[in-house]
Amino acid sequence: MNEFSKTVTVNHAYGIHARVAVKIVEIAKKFNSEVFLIKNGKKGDAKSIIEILMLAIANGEDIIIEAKGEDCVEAVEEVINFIKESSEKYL
Amino acid sequence: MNIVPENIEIKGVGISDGIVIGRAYVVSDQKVIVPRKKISPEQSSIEKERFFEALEKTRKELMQIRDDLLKKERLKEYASIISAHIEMLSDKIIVDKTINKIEKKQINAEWAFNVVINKLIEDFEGINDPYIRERKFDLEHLRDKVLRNFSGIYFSELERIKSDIVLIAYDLTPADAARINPEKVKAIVTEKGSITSHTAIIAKSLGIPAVVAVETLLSKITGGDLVIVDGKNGKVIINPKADTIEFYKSKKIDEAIRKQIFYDISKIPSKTIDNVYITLRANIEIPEEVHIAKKLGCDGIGLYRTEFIFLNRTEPPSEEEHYSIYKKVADEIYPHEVTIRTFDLGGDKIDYHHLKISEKNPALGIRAIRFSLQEKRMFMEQICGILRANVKGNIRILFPLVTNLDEIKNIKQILSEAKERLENRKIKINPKIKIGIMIEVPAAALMADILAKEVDFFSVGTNDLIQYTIAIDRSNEHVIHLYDPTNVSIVRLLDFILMAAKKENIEVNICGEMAGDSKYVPLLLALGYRELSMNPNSIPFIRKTISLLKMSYLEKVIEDVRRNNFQNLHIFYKYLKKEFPDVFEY
Repeated sequence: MNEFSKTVTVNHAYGIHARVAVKIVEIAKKFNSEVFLIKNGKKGDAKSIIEILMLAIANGEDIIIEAKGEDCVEAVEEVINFIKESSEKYL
Repeated sequence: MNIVPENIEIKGVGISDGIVIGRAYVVSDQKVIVPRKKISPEQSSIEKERFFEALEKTRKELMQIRDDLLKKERLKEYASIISAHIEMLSDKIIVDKTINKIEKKQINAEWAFNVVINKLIEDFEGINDPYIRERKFDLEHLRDKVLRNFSGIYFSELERIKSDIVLIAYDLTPADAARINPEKVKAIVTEKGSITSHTAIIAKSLGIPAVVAVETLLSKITGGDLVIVDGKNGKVIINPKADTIEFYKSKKIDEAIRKQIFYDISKIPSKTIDNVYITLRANIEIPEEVHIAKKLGCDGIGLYRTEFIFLNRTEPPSEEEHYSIYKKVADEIYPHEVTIRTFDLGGDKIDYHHLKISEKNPALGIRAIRFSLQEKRMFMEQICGILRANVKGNIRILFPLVTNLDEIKNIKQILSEAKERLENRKIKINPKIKIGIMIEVPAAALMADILAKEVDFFSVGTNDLIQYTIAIDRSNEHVIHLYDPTNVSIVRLLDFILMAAKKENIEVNICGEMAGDSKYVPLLLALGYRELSMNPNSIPFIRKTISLLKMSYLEKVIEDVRRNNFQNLHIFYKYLKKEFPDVFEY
């Protein structure tokens, strides 16, 4: 199975909070691949808002976005793009 | 060091008189009690179904809330929080684990769901990041919402209160307010609310001292604190000093004396000086009020508003529920009559999702009889419940907001259908039951002569009649000064309604606020009204007012005014004050 992962630094004043998490779930759900957020080795399903929130990702932390499946590359890129672009908007 | 702050005094709005010194019982929110039931393996699919239904109902509610927020510019940003709630609702952690629990533990759905979500809430509490940790409140909020959406009634914490307490809450919903037991709740204090809120209405009718709109209340009080509630002055004192307690104790004694005077006047017969008997009945909202009404010496229940039975629940009440409540009231008031008014709310006020309606202008929309005739199934349950409860033949049915003959025709059709259904079920019903309509819309008032041929009695709802005739929203402070029960238009309508009823020889009762106000009672009597229905606590005072009046004199004065088409109504009041100077005292 195809796998792809990439690291991104979170640059949101309040970290990945509920409103940001909702968006990530929405994006992840568009893809067939399984998508995960990984922080310090702890893995959370990107299609579960609760799992994302439980990672308690704070401002300035590095996280890995990982996907498994045919559209894994697109999935990872779109999540990463969102996290980068939204840092201003969701302050 | 732990110092308990002493003598904190907070002002609010006093709702009903009385001084109470007691211990605070703080109701943080309506807590839902979750039943735990073992289920058989075959039942697990039913339980899963119930779980998904509850989730779906909650999802729809949240979507509605989100749509409403999106329409408001300033509140837009909150919509994304609701989106997060909706997302949590379908989160596989919650859904999969709950389903798993239902199957593996063979347990009912709400219990399984509650265990799963509480575990998650605990997990969130352990998170260091304060911002994320706060999300546990979202989960709690969601949990309560979903639990309330499981079919079946939920019970509020209020029903479990055991000893004498001062009830402290942020606000009370109508259903909460209806569950208050006056034997145990000695006073009510809420942070929110106003003179017209349900808490206020209930507190007044139960005669429980109450203070509402007490700002910062919950941040200053803890369960178990000693509190003094001064209902008359709208004062709340938390952890009072010894001398403050002494002061209020002596005030309480003065009050008891005053109350004795109140009960003494309640023993006067409801007759004018010249021996004209006036029937005084009570308006009630909950069965518990019958007791108070009887104590104050009423001639029956003139208006039983049944709305509380319908509120704050997820399914409409069943025939059985209606029956048992009405039966109790009818038995208790026997040999007097009880007038049961059918559902009188709009589709915007109820929570049964499939029946909920949103309207731009509910006051002029699908409400009362219009809603009942549209939602026939719900209506049928109520009608059958009433017919069955009429064992002793002392129930009258009252239909609200009738505006034309077709509605009466449809009502009668449903009544005969209900009778047939009950007969088919071999249930014996008393054939003696009086049918009446509310006259509360100018349309009905102006065709009272025609409507009087179709029914056994009228009940005049002056509040709405005035509101619809003069086009006044009573909750709008900008126009409230125009709300005048002695506006010539109103007096003419009242006169016309009475004439119409007299001609057909049907009973006619007044049940609006006018009937409980000593300022207007002389006018109503002069016009010829002999049956008044009011808030139970007003009965003794109105009885006193009546005892000061002489009917022959009132009739003579009103005759002059009537001849002038009621244009010179001020003359009536001028003579009234001269002849009976004490009449407005009560």
